[in-house]
Amino acid sequence: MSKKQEKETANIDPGRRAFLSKGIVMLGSTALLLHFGCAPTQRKVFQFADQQEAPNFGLNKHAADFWIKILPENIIQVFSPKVEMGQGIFTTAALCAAEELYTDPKFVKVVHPSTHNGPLDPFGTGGSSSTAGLFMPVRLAAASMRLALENAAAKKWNTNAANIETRDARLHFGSQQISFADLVAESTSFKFDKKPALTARENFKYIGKDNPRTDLKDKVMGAPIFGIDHEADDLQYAVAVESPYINGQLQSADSKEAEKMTGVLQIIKEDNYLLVIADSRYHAEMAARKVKANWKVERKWDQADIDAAVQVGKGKFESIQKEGKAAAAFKDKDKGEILEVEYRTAAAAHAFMEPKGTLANYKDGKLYVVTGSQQPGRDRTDIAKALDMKKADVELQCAFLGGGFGGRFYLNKVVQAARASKLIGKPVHLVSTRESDFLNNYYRPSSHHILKAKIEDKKVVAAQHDMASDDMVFDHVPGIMKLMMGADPSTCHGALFNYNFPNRNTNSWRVDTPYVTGIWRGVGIVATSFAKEVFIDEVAEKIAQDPIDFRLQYLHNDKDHRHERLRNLIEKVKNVAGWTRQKNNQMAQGFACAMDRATVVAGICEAGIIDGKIKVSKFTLGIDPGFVVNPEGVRQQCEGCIMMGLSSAIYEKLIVKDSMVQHSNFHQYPVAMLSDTPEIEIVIQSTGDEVFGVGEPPIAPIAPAIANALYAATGKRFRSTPFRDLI
Amino acid sequence: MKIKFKINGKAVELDVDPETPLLWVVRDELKLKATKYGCGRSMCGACSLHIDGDLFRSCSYPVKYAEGKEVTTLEGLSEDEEELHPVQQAWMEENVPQCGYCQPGFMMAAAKLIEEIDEPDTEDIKANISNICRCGTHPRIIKAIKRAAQIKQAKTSSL
Repeated sequence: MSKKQEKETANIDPGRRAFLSKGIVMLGSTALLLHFGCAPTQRKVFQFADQQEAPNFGLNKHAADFWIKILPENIIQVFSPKVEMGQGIFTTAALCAAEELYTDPKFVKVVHPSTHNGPLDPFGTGGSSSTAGLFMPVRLAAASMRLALENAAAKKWNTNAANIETRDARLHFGSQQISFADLVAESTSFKFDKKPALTARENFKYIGKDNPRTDLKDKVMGAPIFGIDHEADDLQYAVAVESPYINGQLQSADSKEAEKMTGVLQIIKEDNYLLVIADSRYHAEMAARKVKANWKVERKWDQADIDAAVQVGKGKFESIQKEGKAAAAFKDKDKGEILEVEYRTAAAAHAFMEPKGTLANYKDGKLYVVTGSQQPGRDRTDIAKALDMKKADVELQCAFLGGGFGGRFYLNKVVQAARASKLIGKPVHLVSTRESDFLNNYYRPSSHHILKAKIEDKKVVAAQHDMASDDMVFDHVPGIMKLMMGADPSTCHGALFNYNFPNRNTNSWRVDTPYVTGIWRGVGIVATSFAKEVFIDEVAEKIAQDPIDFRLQYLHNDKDHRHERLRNLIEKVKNVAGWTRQKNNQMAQGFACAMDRATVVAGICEAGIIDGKIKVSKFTLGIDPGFVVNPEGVRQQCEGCIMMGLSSAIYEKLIVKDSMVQHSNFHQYPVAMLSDTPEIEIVIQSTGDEVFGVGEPPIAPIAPAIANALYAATGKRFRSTPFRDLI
Repeated sequence: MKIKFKINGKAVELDVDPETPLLWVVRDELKLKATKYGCGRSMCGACSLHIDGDLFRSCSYPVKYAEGKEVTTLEGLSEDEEELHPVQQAWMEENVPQCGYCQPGFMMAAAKLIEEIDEPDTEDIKANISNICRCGTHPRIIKAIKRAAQIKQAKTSSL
């Protein structure tokens, strides 16, 4: 799909619009009262949006029995509107439900609802919002369900609900007892309390404790749980022929030879792609290779053109932070000195292990679709619109995702599969080839940063961050929000200075690159934290201070509770890692930290260059995500962020030549392997009562901590990713 | 063309295109879905399985070469659900998977590794397994393989 098409489909999604209109109401109190369109207001709105946890509209409005069903085998089924893509939300949801049902989590089974039978999340699954989004709704539904069951049991046994004891999916009264399932089979109506009392945190039995994943057994036994694993009778297999060029337009196609290939049922030509449908995946793939398609490319792009386009000073300027008088401080040449440094990050692919795959089954005017999606509701809407069907006639069932990382929000190829099934009147399985997943997709945009600091008497008196990058979500927000924010809140996420420098400026330069760009684990903070935290290291060095002590000096904002939490966390990480500035053979330590919305993270990395290769030998990572619901899940997410952050920092880079993305498979797009695995230590700090994000914040300090360690080890600054290009 | 081989101990005879990669025969004809498609070019290891006890990447293994051989997929690794293979038991104990998609391939590679090296250390594991995981389960995979080797040895010595 071309960039233009993606923008068009994105803007007409009613579900998305409904979410955003509510978003505007939320922002209204701070923004609409002011006259928007002027820079100070835009900065306020941007900064507000930058600090917001991802919204979860509508998850609280349903009664308990919409979320929770007691199955006949006495298993409690809980719908999760947040999809399971490895982040462990099904485990977290099971713990939340089990806690309020006074029942061991082994009695709870969390599943994805379809678009027809359970709660849908209009925001989708992303923005590290899963745990924060479900923590209260699932507990409220579970407590409400337990109270309803206790009331029904009390009625049955002619006693007071207070006399009923609930444990492990059974209700007890004296010597009598009944399972949840048997009681539900006997009773016809239940009343659900919408505001039930919840278990006090000091009494939690499952929440906050180490629990194995609830999907562990399925995943260890290889159960058929992914989108690609689904089956239907008389299933046909489709492989798409898509443009190998960025924004290539299909001019003509000769599929005569392909049609004669073994097993080919039909070749469908659509506006900008062809679908080969055959009796097996192998036959479809072989025939697809024989299709001769001609593509028109309007403009030839090479990597140098893209790098030249992504440059501070180009594109659309927007001031997103202006505190104090940084400009005046930089103009004053009489005092102090200025340090100015440039940084770059490369564009990157998601490269999840399960290529995008969809099963679509059109029958009697109705469509049933199974896929792995971070936005099932939007995919269903896209299908209904493209096929001119009513949404009620399109049921989409989300399967487990073989990785998401922000890459399954858009371009899920569900429409292609649905159209093909409708056309041939049989179920169709469309699984992308790895090549198509790499070439016909969207990417994390590359970025360019210029940072400068004015230093007087060993103090930073002013700092400025200018960043240029393409959009991540700007194309998907309505005009009024664009006007209100001015800059892309995802691309620029983490760009602002949180350190207490007296004068601070941050500017966004929105530039355009030819391919579709979008969200990737951590969104902008991967780039902004890299540039800022390497720069801070350079400033500390300039004034000959320990880089951690230097940061701590500027982390004293009493109005912002995060500063205190981060200071505490840094001390712990320092102790656990044994912070030292001494080199150990060829290895040395580097530090970086970040505030990602309300979550704070800090990491110490030990790295060096051994035999001409970058080696990260140890990573100690600390996180404070507020109240910790599922510590084992937090550990897994931190380990994941270390590996993915390391992969992105050292290896990953999207390269374009002759308008073609140059990596069609893993041999051209190396990622971190077992051989790259450092020794890992995770430090978890649980603070307060509120629940914040976990899946993305820990990626923020990874690249800069590695770069800072490599500098300490080698004396060479690593100012652009991937680092493998710099040695 | 009719092709005969054993899958997880059971004899099968299939009428399939002999050039079809074993991966798709296992998944779409035999309906065993643990073996995954990842890259189609023998690079990521998601499709790893055992043929006559050796480790193969089935996306690049035409089914005709399986004639007369014994193929084992993850579904056939354990005797039954009560008596898990040491690798699967270790994977449970270390709570390894995240998304889980690449795990069957890693487990098949790990099962072969502990056959060849009794007590693999971190370097043995890093040097011998080149599968790809994107979620970052690498540190747990390394721990789990060491644990699996211990479980295997304990089982062997108790026999």
